[in-house]
Amino acid sequence: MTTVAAGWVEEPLRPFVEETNVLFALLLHPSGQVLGQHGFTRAVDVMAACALAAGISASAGALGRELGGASFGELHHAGRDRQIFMADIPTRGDRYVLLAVFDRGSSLGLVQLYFRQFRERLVAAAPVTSTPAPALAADFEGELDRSLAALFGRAPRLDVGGRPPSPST
Amino acid sequence: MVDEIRRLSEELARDPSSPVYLRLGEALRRRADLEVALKVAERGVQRHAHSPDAHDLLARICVDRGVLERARAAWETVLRLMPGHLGALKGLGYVLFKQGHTADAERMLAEAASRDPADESIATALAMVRGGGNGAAQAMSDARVALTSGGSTSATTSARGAESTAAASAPPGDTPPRTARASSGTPARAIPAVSNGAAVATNGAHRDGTHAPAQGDVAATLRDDDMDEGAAAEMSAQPLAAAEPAPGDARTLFGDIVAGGAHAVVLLDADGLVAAGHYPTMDGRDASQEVGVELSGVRDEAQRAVQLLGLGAWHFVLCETEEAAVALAPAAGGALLVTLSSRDTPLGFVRRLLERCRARANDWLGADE
Amino acid sequence: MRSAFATVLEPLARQRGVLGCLVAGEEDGILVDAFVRDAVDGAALAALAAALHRRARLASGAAGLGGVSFVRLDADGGHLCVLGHNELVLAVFAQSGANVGVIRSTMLRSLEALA
Repeated sequence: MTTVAAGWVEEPLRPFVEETNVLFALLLHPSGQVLGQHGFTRAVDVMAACALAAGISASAGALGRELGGASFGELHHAGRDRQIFMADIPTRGDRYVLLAVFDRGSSLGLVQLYFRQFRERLVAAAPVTSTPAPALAADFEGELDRSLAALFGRAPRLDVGGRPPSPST
Repeated sequence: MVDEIRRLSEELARDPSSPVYLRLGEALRRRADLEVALKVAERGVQRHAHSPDAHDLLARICVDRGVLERARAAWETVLRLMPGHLGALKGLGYVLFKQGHTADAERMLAEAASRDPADESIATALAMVRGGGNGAAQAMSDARVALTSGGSTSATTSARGAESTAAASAPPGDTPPRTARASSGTPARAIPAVSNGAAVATNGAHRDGTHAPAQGDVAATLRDDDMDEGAAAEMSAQPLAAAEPAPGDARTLFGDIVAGGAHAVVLLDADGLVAAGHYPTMDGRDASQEVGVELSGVRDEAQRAVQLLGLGAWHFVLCETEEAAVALAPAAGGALLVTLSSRDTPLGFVRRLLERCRARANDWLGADE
Repeated sequence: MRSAFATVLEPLARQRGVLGCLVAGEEDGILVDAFVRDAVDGAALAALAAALHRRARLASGAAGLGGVSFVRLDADGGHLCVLGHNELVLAVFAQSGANVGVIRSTMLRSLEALA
C-alpha cells in the first residue's frame, strides 16, 4: 500500500512502485520528513528506515565529495534475497532521497529505468523552495515524527511544501 | 463443509479484497475441489501478491494436484516474502524429496525442525530422509498430508491472518481420502501433450457455437467483483467437470484449426482465467489454467517493452522452449491467446496458427459480448 | 565497441534494419556491452530485454515447458529478439521489415560466445 504525506508526491511515486514491483519505497527529505512510502505497515519501521537512509545519504554525499568532488547520485547494495537502491533527487532549490527495496520480482535495470521517470516527474511536481535544508536537520526527529503522523493517519497531510499545516488552516 | 463454503463464497463476493479467500481455498482443498480451490488461490495470489499466505495456499493445492514444480516455486516465493516460514520449509522439504533432491530436502526439514522442535511430523520426515532406503519414498508420501497441510504454520508466522489459523485448525481427519490417494501416487508434471511431437488434435474437433458450463466458469464467477452474492456459493459447490471436452464446450473453440497437429490453444480473459481452449497434459489433465496463468506474465513484460521503447501495439511474443514453441497474442477485450506447438513445428507455421486462432477468438469474443 | 563481446555484436549490428544490439545481465538487466544507434536508449533496452527473457524463462519453467532458447517480441514499430545464455542475454532491436529469420540465425550462432 502506498501512502503519501504530501499530495504532490503521489503522482510520481505510485507509478514507480507499480511498474518496478519494489517491495518497499521511501521518499524522504534529508531533514527527516517522510513524504511518501510504499510497503511499510508500521510507523516504527518507517522511522528506522528513514533515519538510516538519511544517514547513508549524508555520509555517501560526504564520501563522494571527499573522493571525487561530487556526491554519489545513486547507490545500490545487493543482498542475498533483497537489494537496496538509493538515490538523491535534486530539485529546484531542494533535495530529496528515494530508498527502494526489491527482490527478484524486479531488477536493478528496471528500478533504474523507472527511477529516471520518477525523478523527472518529481522534479516537475516539487514545490520551489528558496533555502536548501541541511543534510541532517537539527530537528530531524521532530520532522520525522510529524511526517509519520501524517503518513499513518494521526494528523492531517502536510502542505504543498511538505510542511505541516499551520493552526489557522 | 458445504455450508461453510457457501458462507465464505458469499463473503468473498461481497468483498473480493477480503482475506477470506484463504479460508475458502483451504475449505475447497480439504473437500478435494482442487480445480476450484486452485482458481480461488490464483485469484488470491493476483490480488495479494505480497502475501505469504496466498502463495502458501497455492503451493498446498498444487501439491494435492501433483504439480510439484509449481508448488515448489510458490513455496520459494513464500520464503522470499517471509524467510523462515515454517509451512514453506516443511512443504519444500516434501517437494524436494519427491523430486529427488534429498540433500536440499534434508536442509529444509532440518531448518523447520530447528524452528519447531515439538512438531513430530517434521522430526519423522527428517528421520525418513536421513534414513533413506526403499521405504523412505512411501513413508514421505504418507507424511505428505502432515507436512503440507499447513497445520502448524500459523503459529510461527506473525503476519498470517486469523483466517489461515482457523483453516489450519481443522481436524486432520477432514482431509478426504481422494487427496490422500493422490498423494501416494507419482506426481504428474504439467508436461504438455504437444511436447512428444505426436499428431494429436488437443482441442477436440467440434464447434457448434454453444458453450456448455465448464469448471472454468465457476472460477470466472468467483472472480467477478460484482457478481450475485449467492452465485459464487452455488457454483463453487458444483462437482468437477469431466476432463475431456464435450462437443459444444468452449474448450473445442479452436478444434478445427488445430485438428491433426500437435498444438494446444488457450484463450485467457482479461483477468487471466481460461475462457476457451484446452491444454491437456500427458497424463490427461487439463492444465490450461495453470499454464495460462504462468505464461500470461509474459504479456506484462511485452506491454512494458513496447510502451517504453515506443513501439506502438504489440502483435505477438514467440518463445522457443525446450518442450514447445509458445506464442502469445493479445485478443479482443484484453484477452490473451496462447498457442503451444511441438518443438519441431516450423516457426512460420506457429505464427500462422496464432493468427488464425486470434481471428477465431476475436470473432467468438465479439459474438460473446 | 572493443570488448569481449564485440565479435558477437558486430555481425548483428551489420544486419539490415538492426537499430541496436547488446549484451546485458539477465538477473539485473544492466548493460554489459552494446551497439546502439543514437535514437535508442541502450540502458532501457537492456533492462526491458532482460526482463522479457527472465519472465519468459520463469514462466516456461513454471508451466513445465523447460528452458527458453529464444524470445521474439513483434510490435508495430519493430522487433525485439532475445536469447539467453550463462546469465547473460543477447538482445537485438530491429525495425519493422528487418529479416528476423537471419537475425535469429546470427544470434543462435553467437550463443557460445556468451560465456
